[in-house]
Amino acid sequence: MPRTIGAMFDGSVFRPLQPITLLPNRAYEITIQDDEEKHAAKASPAQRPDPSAIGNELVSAAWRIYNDRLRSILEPEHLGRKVAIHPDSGDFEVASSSPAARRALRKRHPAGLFVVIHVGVVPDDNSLSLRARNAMRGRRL
Amino acid sequence: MIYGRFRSAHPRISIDLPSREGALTIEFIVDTGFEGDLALPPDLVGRTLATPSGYDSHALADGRIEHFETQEIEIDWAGDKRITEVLVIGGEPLVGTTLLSDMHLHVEMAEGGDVSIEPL
Repeated sequence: MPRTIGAMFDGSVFRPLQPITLLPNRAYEITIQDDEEKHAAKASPAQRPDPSAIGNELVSAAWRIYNDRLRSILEPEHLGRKVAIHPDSGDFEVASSSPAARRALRKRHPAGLFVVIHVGVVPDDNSLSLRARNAMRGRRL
Repeated sequence: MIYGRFRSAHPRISIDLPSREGALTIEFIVDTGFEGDLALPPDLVGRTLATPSGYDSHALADGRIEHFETQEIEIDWAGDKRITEVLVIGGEPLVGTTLLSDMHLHVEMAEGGDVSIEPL
């Protein structure tokens, strides 16, 4: 049955962006779709999807990618740094701050929505929450 | 060079943000304890031409992790155009350390004192 997965082309080889079980040394047919072209809002940030409408799904997808694939790659070497994740593709960038990680990832995904996670944080199952835009008053992070 | 004033216990500067009605001048607290570019409350973000960019996770003191909406907006910063990340969160507008990176911050810590920011 056909499946769709994200892959990164490094100039000569396509590398899966998520774990995949396939038989080695066997031919497969690949359909190419540019991740950026997939989004109609390619060059226009103003046309990016509204994150408030898809926020929980976006955040959950990012945490799945982090826990399933990135945590073992990034910890402990990058503890304390920030990883910006593009949930649609699984692509990511690590930097010392959220803006730096986002800027680096933005070069490859001009239209994407990102979720930034603090490397090393281990949430309780019930501890993830999405802040309502208008429910925040008085803060210091 | 960016100039501001020390007032009500904080160094403050004004930044023009693009909006549908032209430049929207907003006063920000220069907060060296905030690791980010800009923080703005939702009502002010809604008046600008900022565009959604996703979410930032933050671990809170009680162990919970909350996700704050982020947006992007291009500003004039020390003579250059710069796309900055805006953390959408209540409270006073903040300028954080990632926007101050590679800059010299001068603050006279007295009411009415001079505040200046310039590239190193």
